[in-house]
Amino acid sequence: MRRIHFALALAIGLGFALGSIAAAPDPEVETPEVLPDGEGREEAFYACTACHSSALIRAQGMSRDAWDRLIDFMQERHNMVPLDAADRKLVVDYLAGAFPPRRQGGFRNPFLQQ
Amino acid sequence: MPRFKERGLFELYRSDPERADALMFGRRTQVGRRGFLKGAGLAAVSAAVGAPLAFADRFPGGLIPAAFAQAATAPKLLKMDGKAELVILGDRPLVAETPEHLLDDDVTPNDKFFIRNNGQIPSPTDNPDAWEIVVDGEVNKPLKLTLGELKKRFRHVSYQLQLECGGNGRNAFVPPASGNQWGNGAIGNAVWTGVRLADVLKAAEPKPSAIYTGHHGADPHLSGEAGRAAISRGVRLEKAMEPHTLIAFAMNGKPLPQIHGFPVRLVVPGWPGSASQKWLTRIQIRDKEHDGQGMTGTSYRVPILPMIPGSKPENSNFRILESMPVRSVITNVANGTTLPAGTRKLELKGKAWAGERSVRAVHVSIDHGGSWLQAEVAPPANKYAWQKWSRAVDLPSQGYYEIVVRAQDSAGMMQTISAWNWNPQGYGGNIVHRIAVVVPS
Repeated sequence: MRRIHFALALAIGLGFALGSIAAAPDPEVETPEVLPDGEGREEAFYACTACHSSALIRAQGMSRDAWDRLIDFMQERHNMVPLDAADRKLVVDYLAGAFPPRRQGGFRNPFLQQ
Repeated sequence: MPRFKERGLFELYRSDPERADALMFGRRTQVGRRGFLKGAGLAAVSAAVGAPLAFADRFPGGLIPAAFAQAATAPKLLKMDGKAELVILGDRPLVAETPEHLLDDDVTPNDKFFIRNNGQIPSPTDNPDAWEIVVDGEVNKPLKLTLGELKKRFRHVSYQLQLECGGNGRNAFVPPASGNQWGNGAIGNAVWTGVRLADVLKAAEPKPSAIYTGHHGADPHLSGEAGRAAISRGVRLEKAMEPHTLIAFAMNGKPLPQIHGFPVRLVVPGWPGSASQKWLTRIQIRDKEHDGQGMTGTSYRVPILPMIPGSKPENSNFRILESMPVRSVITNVANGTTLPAGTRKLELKGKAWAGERSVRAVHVSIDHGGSWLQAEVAPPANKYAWQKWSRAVDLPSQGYYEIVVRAQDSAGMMQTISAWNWNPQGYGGNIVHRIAVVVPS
């Protein structure tokens, strides 16, 4: 009986400790769905997240030209695997469509976000 | 060539929890018989979660604390020691910003110090005193020193030095510049202890041809390519010889945290933080400007002639960003604070700094810059330490206020209202810090 009580306490304890973790969504392994839907999402996801997490992509908002230049930058400086012309068009079109220039950077009113 | 793919913080906690713990907390997880955390390991995780853990002895070692595991849509917070909540800008590479209101300490504690990595985080060394540092290139006596020898051979100095990411303030550029979208929080002012880089370079005897440094560290490139540096920047020899430029091995009186470059790093105060190489392995003395990772193109550079925002940059129109620009923050009132009802007087406090320069004046405004009130500005603890400022303001009524702080440096330059001198990677932005507060009826 004593043993059963111990096992029960252990199970509850573990459930508590793990529960606070399991309750959150699993952000550990990123998949293409972390990016907005669109043609070229998978290609863009795998081309970019080979090196860095999607947070860096999602923080950007740029014109198509600027995204295109950024691909050059990543290939020249950061060892990005080169894309063939078709894939490059797909990826750049996707990024430009999903992450266009935001209207405003900087200050956001915290009282409007509640 | 095999490519080791760096894992994000979250993935790392899943696949290699002991390494993740070692990187985040600079310690080895102590795992008991059943695999649960004990002792120091437990304390560190409790601290990270920000509260004592219920059923703490049952908390499995290396499990990612719930405080790290939040929805992708909300800002991710990196909680350490129960107080600091750094905002994670990215987990691979790991980059985290200190919200302005957590910069209220005169000396920034380690847990509130922003985190910027360009590459993978190397594994912690077990034998810091055996860590080797090479000084070579345009010198008569190339050096190969262990950290232990370096500590014995050269005089130790300690200074409060502000260290700031070159991209601090980037999120104010319109259209958005590429890179981590820093607010004002890529800044910290710690007490750094080390030896003067100048003393070490003098021992190596630079040749007359020596004009520039190239810094090298042990952090691998994110892509895992062996021959590619995560970051390798340098400075003019004059800056390397400046007495506050340190080879540092302690931060706030303790060995460097792993995430800040353990066991040894450079601290090149007042210049973009990328010059302050972490996990330092080599200082190359050069007879020309360094051309390592992050030195060329538009990286850590600003336009010589202003360019049309968003247009294609011409590399020839860019110069290296050396001194960081003047900046100030309000640290004792968080953006979005609802003040106690009836509040009519508000004491404002904060910090200001100006790269190579000092801060001459700080002004605050509660009417969007219609009028400015002069703050009291304290002198820095030493050159390159940030400066405290304070000013009490009257709030004439209930309602919504925006409070703005603006600093002016010793050469007269002021922070701007909007980011100027747009450049594709967003350097040199230093707009005024702005917070919103409400006084309820």
